Amino acid sequence: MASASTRFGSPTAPAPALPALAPQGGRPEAAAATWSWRPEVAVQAASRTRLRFALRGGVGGGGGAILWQLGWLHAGSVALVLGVSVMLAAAALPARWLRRADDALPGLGRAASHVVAWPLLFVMFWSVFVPFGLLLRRGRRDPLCRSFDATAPTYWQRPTRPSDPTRPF
Amino acid sequence: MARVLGISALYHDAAAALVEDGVIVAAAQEERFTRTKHDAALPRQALRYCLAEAAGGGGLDAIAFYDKPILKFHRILETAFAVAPRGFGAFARGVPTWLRDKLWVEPDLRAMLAAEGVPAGVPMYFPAHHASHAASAFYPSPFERAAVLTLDGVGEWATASIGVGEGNRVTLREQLEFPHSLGLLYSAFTAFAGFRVGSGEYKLMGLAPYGTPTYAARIRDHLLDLKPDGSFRLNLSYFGYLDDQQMTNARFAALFDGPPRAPEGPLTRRELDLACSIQQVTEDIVLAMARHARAETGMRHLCLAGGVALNCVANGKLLRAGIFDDVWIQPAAGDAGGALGAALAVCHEVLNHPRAVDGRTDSMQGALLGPAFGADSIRAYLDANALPYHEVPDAEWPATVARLIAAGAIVGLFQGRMEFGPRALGNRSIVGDPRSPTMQSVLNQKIKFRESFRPFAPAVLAERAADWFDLDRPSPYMLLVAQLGARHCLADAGDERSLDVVQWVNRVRSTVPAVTHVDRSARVQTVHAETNPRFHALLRAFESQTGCPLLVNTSFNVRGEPIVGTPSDAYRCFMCTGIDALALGPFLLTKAAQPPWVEAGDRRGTLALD
Repeated sequence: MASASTRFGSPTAPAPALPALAPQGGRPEAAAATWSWRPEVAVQAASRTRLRFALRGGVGGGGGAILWQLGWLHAGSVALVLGVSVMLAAAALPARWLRRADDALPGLGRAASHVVAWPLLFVMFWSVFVPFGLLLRRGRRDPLCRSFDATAPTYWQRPTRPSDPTRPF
Repeated sequence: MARVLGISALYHDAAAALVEDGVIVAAAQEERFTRTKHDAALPRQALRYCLAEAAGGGGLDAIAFYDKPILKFHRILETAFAVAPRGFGAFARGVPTWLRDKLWVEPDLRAMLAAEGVPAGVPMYFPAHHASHAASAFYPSPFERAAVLTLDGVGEWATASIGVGEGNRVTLREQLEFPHSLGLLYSAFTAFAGFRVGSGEYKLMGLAPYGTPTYAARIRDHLLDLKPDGSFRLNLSYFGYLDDQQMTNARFAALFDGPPRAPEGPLTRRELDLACSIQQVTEDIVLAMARHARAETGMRHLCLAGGVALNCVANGKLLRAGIFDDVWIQPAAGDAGGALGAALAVCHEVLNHPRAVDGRTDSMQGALLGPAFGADSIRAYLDANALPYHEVPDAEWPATVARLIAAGAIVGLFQGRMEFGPRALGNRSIVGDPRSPTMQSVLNQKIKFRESFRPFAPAVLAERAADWFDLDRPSPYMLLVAQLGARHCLADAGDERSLDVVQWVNRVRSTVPAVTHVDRSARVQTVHAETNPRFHALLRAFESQTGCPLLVNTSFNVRGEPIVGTPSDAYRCFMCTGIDALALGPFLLTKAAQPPWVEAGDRRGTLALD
């Protein structure tokens, strides 16, 4: 479907004059807000990345120094070394390496949470889901309505779940 | 003014859309900015773009997220209960992701929006997934009232729904629920045929004409219980998606003569026949559902959305069946369109804004709803990088580009606003001469780096479409398949099924072989001067030079990458592929004149599977 003014299917219709080739709307400033090709943008982004890493290193190193002062010598020295290393890396490494490290951090976090979550989920699954699931099955309640019903005239059903758009449930 | 920002994210195809007083101002998929295909992350850059398009500044009145995340999580938990003690793997993989990323949408979105300057007090709404699809189908349609049919993999619970749109309300009346899903059934065959779920469905559809429906009866007899009204249940004992991360299981493989095809493995007769069979079953179900929708609602018009509505072969058959007087399909029918639907639903149904409709014209503006780059910014980019170009005056642009195409060049077109939805409609397109017998294989292998069986779509002047195709209505969004007119087809070459697929596809069977599929069908895009004057003018110029009002139109990207979003993306794709010339706004760049590109060369080894 498009415009009804289109001379659709009428090959004998006179050809219109070529239209003016003006931009078709969309504000160039809006497009520019999402396009950062200019070298100075890349330089600014690199500076921000370095600053972010330096701050992280500073916080880590500072925390290490405090721990050291409090007498936690091992933990303090590890944190101090790590913090100083991150600060040195922020100053010396190419920005793209830092960005890659930035990108990898959430992945490491996810992997760590996966390792921690797996045993917890295992316990939860076998202590809650399996017994209750089996009870449901004993009671012949199938929330997924998996069986065929040859006698039903239709499988269409009225929407019964909440539809209030103010709620995420 | 009612200004609503719509957002879809966290499953696939994240997107943002901005609606003002019911008018669509902007819409874009996140993948175009991040360059990660089907990017599902919260769409930070897409929403930044949409907010930048807001006219005259001012704030948002509402934010709309396209589904109800907690209800979705409820489905995950119910499924775990239902299949226990099986399904621990799926449970352990799925639940942490949900708890970490998907369940707390509101605070995550608010934090992202706060960084863009959106105040915390703007109300946030959560229309249901299929309500968002239904809104995306009905509100932009040209109909005052219509039946609405939505079909996809799964939302919260619904997998298909039938409703009625009238004025500024859409009411969903009936639905099918998970795990019984036409989208998941099609995806199961997609995975079994060795393609990626979520993007390989197009490939399966493209393969269907090569096969015969030898498995259709087996699918009907074993995999589903189909009622006459199109409702059905799946026999879950053949599928793996409830208790595993696989779509199908060993029983499914035994039913269909062996294990699944390995990704990138050789295509055998079995895959071709499976594609044809599931396509036929899908079409039968869609037609039955449409007949039921017509009977239940009494409406003369139908609006379609949801991922299954991107099956343009089924759409074409639905139109030709004449069940409804007319059918309108949301061009961004998948989850990206949910962002638009959610925004429209909140604008009309929550903020009670009236809907304006003229009964003739849809309000999608040709689906050209994304960023448009001005000539000044493109020139600045080209000059800063010392890239050779010449500026073509507007009056000469169509004839100049048409001459290149007529001479056999493959041209990248980058102009105007970026398309919203999966199709490139002339503004981020690669175009070529459809009369060339080698164009299809050249485009597939040297430009797109993809499988040789995949057909290309024709863009045709709207006013010439009826001369070329068996099509009695516009198809501006490339969502309808139609047969090529008999006078453009060459004599039948006999049974070609014994041929190798590559030989088969390269047979010349029409005067426009590059856009003619093996069954002489084509996925047609009618080009209208009203919505895309520049592309229309190019087609006019090509017709005046060659007598052919068609061009091959394929998306401006390579396999595994999203369609290009910016001039720099376009230039990179131009330089990394066999594209001969790039029309970047008013600037024309030829490959021979460009300096060497560091990434130049064969990229096939680095491309992600799609």
